[in-house]
Amino acid sequence: MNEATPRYGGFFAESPRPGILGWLLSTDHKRIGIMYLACITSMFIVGVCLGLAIRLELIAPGPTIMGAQTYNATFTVHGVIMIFLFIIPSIPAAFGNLLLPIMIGARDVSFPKLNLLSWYFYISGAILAVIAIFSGGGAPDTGWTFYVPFSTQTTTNVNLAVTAAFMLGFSSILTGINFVTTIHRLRAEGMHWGRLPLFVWTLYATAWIQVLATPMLGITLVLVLLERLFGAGLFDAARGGDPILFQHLFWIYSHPAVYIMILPGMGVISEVIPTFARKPLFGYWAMALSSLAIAFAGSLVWAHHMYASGMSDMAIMIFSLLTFLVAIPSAIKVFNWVSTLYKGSIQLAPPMLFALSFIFLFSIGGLGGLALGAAASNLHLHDTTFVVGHFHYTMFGGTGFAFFAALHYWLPKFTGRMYDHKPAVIAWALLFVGFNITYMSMQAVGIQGMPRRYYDYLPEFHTLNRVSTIGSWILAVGLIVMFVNLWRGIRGGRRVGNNPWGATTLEWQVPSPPPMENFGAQDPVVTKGPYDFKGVVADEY
Amino acid sequence: MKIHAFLPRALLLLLLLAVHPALVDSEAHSPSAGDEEPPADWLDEKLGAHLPLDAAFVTSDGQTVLLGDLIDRPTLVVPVYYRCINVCNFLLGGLASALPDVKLEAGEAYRVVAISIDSDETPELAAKSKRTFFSAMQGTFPPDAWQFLTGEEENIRKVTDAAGYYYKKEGDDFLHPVVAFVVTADGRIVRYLSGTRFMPLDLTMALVEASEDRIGIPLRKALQFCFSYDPAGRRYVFNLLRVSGTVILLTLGSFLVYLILSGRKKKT
Repeated sequence: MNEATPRYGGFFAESPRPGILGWLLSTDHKRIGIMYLACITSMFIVGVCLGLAIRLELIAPGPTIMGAQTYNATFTVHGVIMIFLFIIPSIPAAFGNLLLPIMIGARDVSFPKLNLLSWYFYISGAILAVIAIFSGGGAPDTGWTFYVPFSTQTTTNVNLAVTAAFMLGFSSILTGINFVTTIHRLRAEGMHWGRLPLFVWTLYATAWIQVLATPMLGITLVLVLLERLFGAGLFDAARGGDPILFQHLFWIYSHPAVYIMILPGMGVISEVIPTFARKPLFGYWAMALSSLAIAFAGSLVWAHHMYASGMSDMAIMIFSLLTFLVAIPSAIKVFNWVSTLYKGSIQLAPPMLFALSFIFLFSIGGLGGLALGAAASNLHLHDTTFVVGHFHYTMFGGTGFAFFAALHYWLPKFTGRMYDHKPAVIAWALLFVGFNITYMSMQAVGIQGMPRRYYDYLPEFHTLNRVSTIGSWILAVGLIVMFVNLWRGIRGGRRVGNNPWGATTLEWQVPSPPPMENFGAQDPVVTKGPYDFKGVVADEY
Repeated sequence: MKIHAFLPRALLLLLLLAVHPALVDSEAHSPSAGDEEPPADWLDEKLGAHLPLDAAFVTSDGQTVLLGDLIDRPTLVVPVYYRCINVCNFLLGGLASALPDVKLEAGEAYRVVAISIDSDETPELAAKSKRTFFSAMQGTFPPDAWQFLTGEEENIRKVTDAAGYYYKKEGDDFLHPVVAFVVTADGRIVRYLSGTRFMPLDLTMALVEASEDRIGIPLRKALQFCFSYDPAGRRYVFNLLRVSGTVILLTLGSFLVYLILSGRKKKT
C-alpha cells in the first residue's frame, strides 16, 4: 500500500517522518484512516474465520469440529471481534477519518492528536482482546453480551475481554468528539449545513450516539469487573443487587450501538446511489433529519432485547411502540434511495451493486426487526437463530455490504489505482448469493425453533443448517475473490484521475490519492450542493 | 415544512423518554415473588399472633417434641408437605441456598422448622427431605438448626390457623400459600416472607427483628426498608447511574451549545 512511486504519490509520499514512524506517529487523518482500515480489515478476516468455524461445527448435529466449550468461546470471540473491532469502527473510524475532513473542505480533523490517540486505544483494545483468547482461564464464553450472572461467575478470561471492550469504547468516544467538533467548526467557506454530503450527516448523528451512549458501556463493564474482582454484589439478587439491571445498562449502550453501526453505512449508500444514478439524492433534508431521528429514537428502544427477561407488560408495550417508530426514519431512507434511482441513468459499477444489495438486504433485516420488535412474535423468536439471521442481515448485509461498497467506491480515490471490475462483480454475486443462502436458512431454522448459541441441535434442523453452512462457503469464496481483487488493484491497478466515477462531493475534486492537508494552498470555497451533477463528468478509468 | 412534520413525533418521543425510566425503575426493583402463589386470601397475615407452643410434633429422628421446645429463639417456620412435587421443593430449595448466607449463627441465633401440613406423612419422609436439602447445603449448616416435623392433623391445624395460613387438600395434593414466617422466642409472629426465593438480607433482617421482639411490617414495605438500609450496594448503584447520567447529559449539552454558539472556525 505504502508504495513509493516515481510519479505522484499523494499523502503516501509526503510525510514529516520516514518509514513506519511516519505512520505510527502521524496525525494526518488519511494515514490514521488507512491504519484503521488495515486493522479493521484484518480483524474482519479473523472474525470471518471464526464465523466459518461456527458454521462448520453446525453442519451436522453433535460435535463435528469442536465441543461445547470451544463452540461457546468461538461464538463469543466471533461476536466481540465483529462488533467491537470491526463493525463499530469500520465505517466511522476508517472511512470517516479518510473522508470527513475532505468532504467538508477541511485540512484535518479538529483534534489530530486525539485522533491518533483513539487509534492507539483501538489497537490496545484489539491486542487485549486477542490476548484474552489465549490467556487466563481460556477464551471468554459468555457471548458478546457478557450477561450476568454467568459473566460474573465463569472462570474464563472475561476480565481481560471486558477491559478490551472498555478501551475500544474510549476509542469510539474520542472519535465521536472529534467528528462532532470537526463538523461544527471546520467546514469550508460556503459549506453550510444544507450542503453537507449525507455521509457527513450520518457521521454526525453517529458521533453523537458514540459520545452519549458509549460511557454507559464503560460504566457497565467497570461494574462487571467490580463484581468479578471484588464481589460487589451489584448484579447479585442474593445480596440485594439486580441481574436485570445489567441487561438494561448493557443495552442502553448496545442498542444505540447498532445505529452507530448502521448509520454510517446508510451514509455510504447515500453517496454511492446518486453517483451511479447520475441524479441528485431525492429528499436531502428528509435523509439528513431521518439520520438524526434514527439516532434519537434508536436510543430509546434498548429494552426490546429484554421482553423475555421479565418486564411489565406496560414497559414491553412502550418499548415495542418505540421500536416500531424507528422503522419510520429507516423506511424514509429506503424510499428515498429508491426514488433517487427512479428515472436515473443507472450504472451497475461494483460500488453500485453493493449499494443496491444493501437496500435489499437491509430491508429484509429491517422487516425481520419488526417481527422481533412486536412483543408477541418476539416471545416465539427470542434467542432463536432467527435473531442471529436478522442481525446478520442488518449488520453484515447492511453495514458489511456498505463497507464493501465504500471499499470499491473510495479505495481508488485513496490509492490512486483502480481494481479490475470483472472479478469485483463476480465477488459481489458470490457474496450476495452466499449471504442469502447462509442467513435466510438461519432465519428459517430459527422460526422452526432452533435456539441460538448451541453447538448441537435436533435432527429436524439438519437440512437447513447444512444449507446455511454451504452458503457460508460461497460467502467465503466471494470474500477471497473480493479481497484479492482489491489488493491487486491497490498494488498494480490502472491509475485513476481525480474523479473516476463522476461524483460531486469535494473529495473527488482533489488528486487521487489526496495530498497532505488535502487542498493546495487555497482553501476550497463551496458554491453548490453536494449532489449537483451539472457539468460533472467521470474520468476515464 | 418537513421540520414541522417531525415535531409532533419528537415531542411524543420526548414525553415517552421522560416517562419510561420510571417504568423501568419500578420494574427492575420489584420483588421477585414465586409465580405459583395461590390466591391471597389463603394467607391472612396475623402479625403479633402467638403460635400454640404446646402443639406436639414428631422430628425426623422420630422423637416427639412440643413446638415450644424448638421455638426457644427466633425461628423461621416453614409449612410445606414433603411429597409436594413443585412449590414446596422450590421453597425449601430457596431456603437451602439462602440460609448459608444468613449472617447469623444457625442453631444459636435462630432455628428453622419445617412443618408438614399433611398428617399422613411420616418421619421417614421428613428425614428423606432433610437429607436432600442438607446435602444441597453441602454441610454448611448444623443439623439441629433445621428441623423437619410431621404431626397430627389437629396439631397442624392449630399452628396454621394461628398463623392465618389456610390450605385445602385436593386429590393427593394440597392447595396452600407459599410462605414462611418468622416468630420470636415466645412464638409471636413478626414477619411473613412469601415466594420461593429468599434474599439472605431479608431473612437476616426478619430474624434480627424477631430477636429484638419488634413487630414487623408487611413484606413489601420491608423490602423497601431493607433496600434503603442495604448499605453500599443499593444506594451506590442508584446514585452512580443517576449522577453519571446527568453529568454526561449536562457535559454534552453544554458542549453542543458551545459548538452551536461558536459556529464555524474563522480561518485567518
